[in-house]
Amino acid sequence: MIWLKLAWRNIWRNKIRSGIQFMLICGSVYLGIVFHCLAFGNYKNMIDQAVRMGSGHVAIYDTLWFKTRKTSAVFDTKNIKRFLSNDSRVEKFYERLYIPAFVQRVSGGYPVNIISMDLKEEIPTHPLLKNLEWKPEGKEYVIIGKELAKKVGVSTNDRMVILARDFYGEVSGILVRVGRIVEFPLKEIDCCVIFADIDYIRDNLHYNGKSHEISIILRDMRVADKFSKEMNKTLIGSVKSYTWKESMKELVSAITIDYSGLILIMLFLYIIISVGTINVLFMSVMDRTTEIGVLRALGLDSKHINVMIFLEGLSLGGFSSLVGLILALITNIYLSTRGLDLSTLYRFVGGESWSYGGVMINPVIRSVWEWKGIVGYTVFIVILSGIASYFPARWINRLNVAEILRK
Amino acid sequence: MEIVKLEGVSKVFKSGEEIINAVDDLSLVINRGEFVAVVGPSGSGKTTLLNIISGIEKPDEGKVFFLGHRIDTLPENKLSELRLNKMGFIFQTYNLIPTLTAKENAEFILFLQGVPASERERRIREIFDFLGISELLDRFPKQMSGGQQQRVAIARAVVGKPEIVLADEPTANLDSENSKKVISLMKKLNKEMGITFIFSTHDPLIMESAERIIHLRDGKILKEERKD
Ligand SMILES: Nc1ncnc2c1ncn2[C@@H]1O[C@H](COP(=O)(O)OP(=O)(O)O)[C@@H](O)[C@H]1O
Ligand SMILES: [Mg+2]
Repeated sequence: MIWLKLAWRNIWRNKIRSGIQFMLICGSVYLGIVFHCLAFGNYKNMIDQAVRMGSGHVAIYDTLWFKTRKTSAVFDTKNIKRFLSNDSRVEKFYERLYIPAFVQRVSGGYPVNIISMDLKEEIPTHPLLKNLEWKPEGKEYVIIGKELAKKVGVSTNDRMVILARDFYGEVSGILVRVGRIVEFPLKEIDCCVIFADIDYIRDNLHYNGKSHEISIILRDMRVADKFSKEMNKTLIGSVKSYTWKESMKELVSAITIDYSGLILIMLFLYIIISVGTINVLFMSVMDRTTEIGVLRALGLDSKHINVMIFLEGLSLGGFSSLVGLILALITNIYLSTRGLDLSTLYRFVGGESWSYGGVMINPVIRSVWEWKGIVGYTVFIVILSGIASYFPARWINRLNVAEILRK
Repeated sequence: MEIVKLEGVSKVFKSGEEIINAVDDLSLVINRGEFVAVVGPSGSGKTTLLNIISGIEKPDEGKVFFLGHRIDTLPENKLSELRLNKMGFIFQTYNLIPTLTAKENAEFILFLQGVPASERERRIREIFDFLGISELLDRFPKQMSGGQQQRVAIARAVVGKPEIVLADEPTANLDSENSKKVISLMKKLNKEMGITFIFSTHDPLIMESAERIIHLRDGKILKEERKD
């Protein structure tokens, strides 16, 4: 108690000096936690969107399709679907068929990709489609991007013919009707994708009961690894199960790079801040050289002096980071409920494409409570502050007491 | 019983070309319960002598004994322990810890000695009462006059029940009134608690109150006076 009292009072002997350091530590803890929680919120959002848009938490592909995207690499889904329906860990699963095609018009042909899916099922949850508030009135209805509509020259309810190869390799025409024209935030989708009903495409192109992909949404994404492993035991032939980490390597590495960048910046900031702490403690120790000399004359040994200065570093670091933590938690309450709207910023810096690592990002970032990071950022600077005390303590302990007292 | 014994102790300082024999082949015995003044002009080696006795300074030659044990060969941490538990210190410039109150200054020593909290409280009250400075308990050093600070410093020096108190020119910064008060308090502690005192001074009035006066000149004992 007496040590802490002494440390606390010693810190505040120079209010300006310690006050500045207090604000620096407090500020960096605050920034560290807020950015960390925002970043994780963003990652969670990205993963979530990517998972719903693409391959789910766990996806089933033919290995050949996974590696080469060869259109012929489809597989029969009937048995797998039955299996999935009986597993309580599965929230939902979607079948998809991806077919390259041409839109045939008088003005020429336009290459497109048909993403065929159970439109009725997927429209409410698919990140690109969920705000449509539209239900296809028939199986021939498709959704296309604004850009494609403009290029091809169609408007809602127009009919058009798409040319694609069927399962046997014969070119075949499919008659579809434009159900909805949407301005997609991703250019590649806006210009060149047709969302169509999977049964309709299967019937037309003779892909009976076959898919390129079954995308599985789990109730708890943390069981993805285990679930995928189990699936692989039951799957036969070249059909395999992949977790989202395996199927979206690009996204995983984008997140890893982004997070490493954040960690690196924060580490750099923390080191600079700690050099500041060393400096503050050094000046404080130098200001009271005589006083510490007296303490050593009275019988304090180098261990006592170490403890004294260590506690000064620790209480300055501890107090500052505690205040930073509290402010960050308050901010995070706001950011996790209301979120941070970056849409203006995105429009300003990146045009209209809000994509990152091949994934569309929601311009409203909601932070999450990532406790490992919250605790980590708070505690780490306290540890560094304690370590910072080592240098001034070593310096004063090496001085000769008799010399100090003579002055 | 011998509390301090020096045998042929020398301490040499070099400042530039010059070699100074601050303490020069000095031998000395001080017994328990003595009240000793070390006197001499500035530069005669008083501070160096006291520092050698407390182990703050190591002699270049000779042996230093404290309570019968040789201490000039002890490592730094052992000397600290010895100073903390067996010695008290009074300085010319009081040197109270400015961030601690009078009471806390004294308590800090007891705390480091490992005295339990309730016992600390009792001992501090006792000693502050004894010295008649109870009203100063909760004052910070800057809220006290020089004389008051030095009396608190005396309390700090003796609260840990030391064998000996070493006081280097304790009255040099005080007026004669306060000087007399400080010396008489030291004497009271010497008489009633049996604590050995060695203090240095160059004030003739102050040294008169000592029972034994050691005159120092150029690091050597010039003469000794004893009163009974
Ligand atoms: N660290 C030092 N370096 C050089 N000379 C010193 C040092 N310490 C003491 N001296 C010299 O030793 C002599 C004795 O000093 P000191 O013990 O302080 O005497 P006093 O306390 O009687 O004034 C003086 O001449 C002083 O200049
Ligand atoms: Mg001196």
